[in-house]
Amino acid sequence: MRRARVRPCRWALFLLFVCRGVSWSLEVPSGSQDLTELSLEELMGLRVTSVSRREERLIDAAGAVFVLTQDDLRRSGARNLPEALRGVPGLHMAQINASLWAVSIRGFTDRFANKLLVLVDGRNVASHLFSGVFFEGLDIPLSEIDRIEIVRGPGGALWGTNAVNGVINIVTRSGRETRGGSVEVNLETGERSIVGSGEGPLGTGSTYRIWGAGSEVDDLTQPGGGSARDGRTSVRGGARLDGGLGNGEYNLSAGLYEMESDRLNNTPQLDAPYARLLPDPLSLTGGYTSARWSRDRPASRSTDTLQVYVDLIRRSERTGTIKVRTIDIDFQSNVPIGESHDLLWGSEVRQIADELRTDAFHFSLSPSQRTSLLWSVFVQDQISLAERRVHLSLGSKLEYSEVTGEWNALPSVRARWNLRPNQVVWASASSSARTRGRSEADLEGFWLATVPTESGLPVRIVFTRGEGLGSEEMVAWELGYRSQPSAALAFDVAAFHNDYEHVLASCVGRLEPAAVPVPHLIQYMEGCEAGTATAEGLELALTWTLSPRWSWSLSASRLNFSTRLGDASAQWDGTSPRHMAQLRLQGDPAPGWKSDLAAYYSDSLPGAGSPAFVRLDLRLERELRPELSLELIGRNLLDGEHSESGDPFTGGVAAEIRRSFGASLRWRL
Amino acid sequence: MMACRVLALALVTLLSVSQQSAPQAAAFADEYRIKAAFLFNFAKFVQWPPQAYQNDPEHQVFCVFGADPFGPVLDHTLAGKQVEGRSVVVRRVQDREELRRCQLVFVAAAEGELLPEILTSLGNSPVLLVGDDPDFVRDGGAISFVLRKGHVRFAINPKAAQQARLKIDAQLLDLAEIVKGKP
Repeated sequence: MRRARVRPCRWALFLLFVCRGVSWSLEVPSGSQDLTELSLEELMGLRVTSVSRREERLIDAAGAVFVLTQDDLRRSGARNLPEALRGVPGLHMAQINASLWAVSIRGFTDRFANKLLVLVDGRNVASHLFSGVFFEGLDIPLSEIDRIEIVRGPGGALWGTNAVNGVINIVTRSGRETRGGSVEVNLETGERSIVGSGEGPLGTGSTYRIWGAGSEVDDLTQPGGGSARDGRTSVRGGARLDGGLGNGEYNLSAGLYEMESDRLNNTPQLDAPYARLLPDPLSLTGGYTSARWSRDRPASRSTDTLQVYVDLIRRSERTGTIKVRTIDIDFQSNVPIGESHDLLWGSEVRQIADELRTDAFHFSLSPSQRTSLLWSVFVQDQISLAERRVHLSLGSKLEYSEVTGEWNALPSVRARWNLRPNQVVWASASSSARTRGRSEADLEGFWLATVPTESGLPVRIVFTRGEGLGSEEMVAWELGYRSQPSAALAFDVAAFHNDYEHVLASCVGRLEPAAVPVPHLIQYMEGCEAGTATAEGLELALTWTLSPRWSWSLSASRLNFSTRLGDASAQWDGTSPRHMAQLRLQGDPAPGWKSDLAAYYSDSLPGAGSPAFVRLDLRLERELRPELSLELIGRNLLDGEHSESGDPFTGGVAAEIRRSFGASLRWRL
Repeated sequence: MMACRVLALALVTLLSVSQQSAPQAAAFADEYRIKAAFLFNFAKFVQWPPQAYQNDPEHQVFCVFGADPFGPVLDHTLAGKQVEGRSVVVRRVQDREELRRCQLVFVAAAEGELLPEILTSLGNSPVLLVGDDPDFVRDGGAISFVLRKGHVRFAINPKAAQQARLKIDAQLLDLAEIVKGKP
């Protein structure tokens, strides 16, 4: 493991904090965040949760929406983003090993799940290779996240292709709400991390925030014993500036990261034993810079927002190195028309330039360098009817991808009816699509495995692109009800039915002889529209506040998922649990103490080779001094070791997820 | 090791600026936490006539009428607070007739449609009515919360406040959207 490269930097970081900590003054009045200390003007400057491109009350969203706040993230005790998503009703997160996760919503879970859209501060972080997300590269410290909004179900009409099964919108913290800084040190079984931040006002009306984080995760073990060789180290930092400008607001932000991870992958070869589990270290370096400007025009009550970002990433692994540069310009405008129409429209252009250097015998794209455009425009009208009790949203996005040369229209109709102000029924019908990523549209060959035959000639199984393919399409029907009958009780239920057509997978194609380096046969697996799939289910979430100090929350979901994909290589039957449930008890047992208990249940995953499991996590937080708190965590307490999911596609190792204990100290400066 | 260098640079910057550590504010701006803080601020910028405290001169009583959207947040926010030397207490009220004992009443959005009945029961009692429904001020409430592009704002109906014999500070009026509704 090449950990030594990162370590000096991390220790320097730690020492700096410790040395400086001694001189930090203790004049901070309280660790609790008392908003009553703010002036009226400051209160008016605070923002509330935003969902679905326009900001609205959570209860009024005409979709299955769930929000994790900074407090939720803290109380979850999670140390990384995928782990924090475990708490979301209806979302399936399975940890494959120390550095790999499979995350999906409403079916199709696997490590390369490609039907979710993930945004970080408006930047699309999905890989253009396969239109899914490499979560291992998204190691943002949770203390830097303000909130995560999760939309289950299609969001294509606003967010474009690939938002087929849901949208995960991550909003990081600005320097607006706190000042000073903080340092957090986490130590736990097989994992160490440190996060530091500084923030506050900077001149007139603007604020800054700057942060740095380092983490180190040890290897887990393989089911049969032995190291899973899956540890990782990462360093990450970022800075942002927020402020007012004329009638609007601006935001400038930038960040850098470096991640290295060990992995074991099934590596094919042409002679016996035809495949070996070999180390396949991954190295990931990247950075981004983004500028966003929004302007209010009081005369027309409208708001315009413009965002430009540049994202660079270099990913290096056994199969090769890929560099990707993304430049994106996104404009949107919200214009109320008369009393009852609220028009939202926007347009986006994204240019993606990549360069691939590989051992072509194992993996190659043709062309190996490509610069392509993605262009889209959307419009949505929200119509208020019946004295603003009924809202109807009609909209569509039109998107053109140069990689596939395809146009996609993604229409949706959503309606919401406020039976009472705190009681909402909503329904939607939408059609969405997933376009092929670069590694699907331009795949020359990917050698996955070798099969020995009786004739003595080994057969190489090589994946390649298919001809004449279109986009995957999905039509979704949703119905939901949300209610807060009393202060103590909140209830949310959503039902859905999704029909997928032209599901893309790989089908058995031509068989060709090859002479180099030794005589063998190549069995191509060609990209194909393999068939159809259906997903239907029910998701339920309930929060019950027993007293100001104790609250319960319960969520449960059921998914009926079936595919009809013939003999295609990728099969998703049994990779998403039929049933999931979780129960949380959150309490403030005594002044200065916080306790959290979370229990999860997940059905077995026959398709990923994982048994059903129950997981129990406990967290206890003690405020030692107003500016200093200590957190103790016990994770996966019921079970010493179980695996949550394998990696069926690459045959990678499903590590045993261990029981772990940890402590964390947090200073407010 | 570009990331390392940048991190080091970031740290130095952080260490140099975070020296001026100052009182901290909110970490997360949850809608009802903001609204709870607003309620406290309203009480500071509104002057009640002496009759308002006839029954209980010691306390400033904040009431929530109907389905309470705050949960524990309001109690947490107002715990230990004082307005004009009076300790703040929070009560949940289901009976309209009991509203006279409050100085400030927050009317949950679900109960907004009961406003005519509330106004009838209160007569011209010095009670500040704050509603969660934007239309609340138009129909005779004194203050409504409104959400504007993710910010909590408020609207005031000065006539309705006058009717309840409440004096609203000009500073509060300056920040409000003024609505000419029913008195």
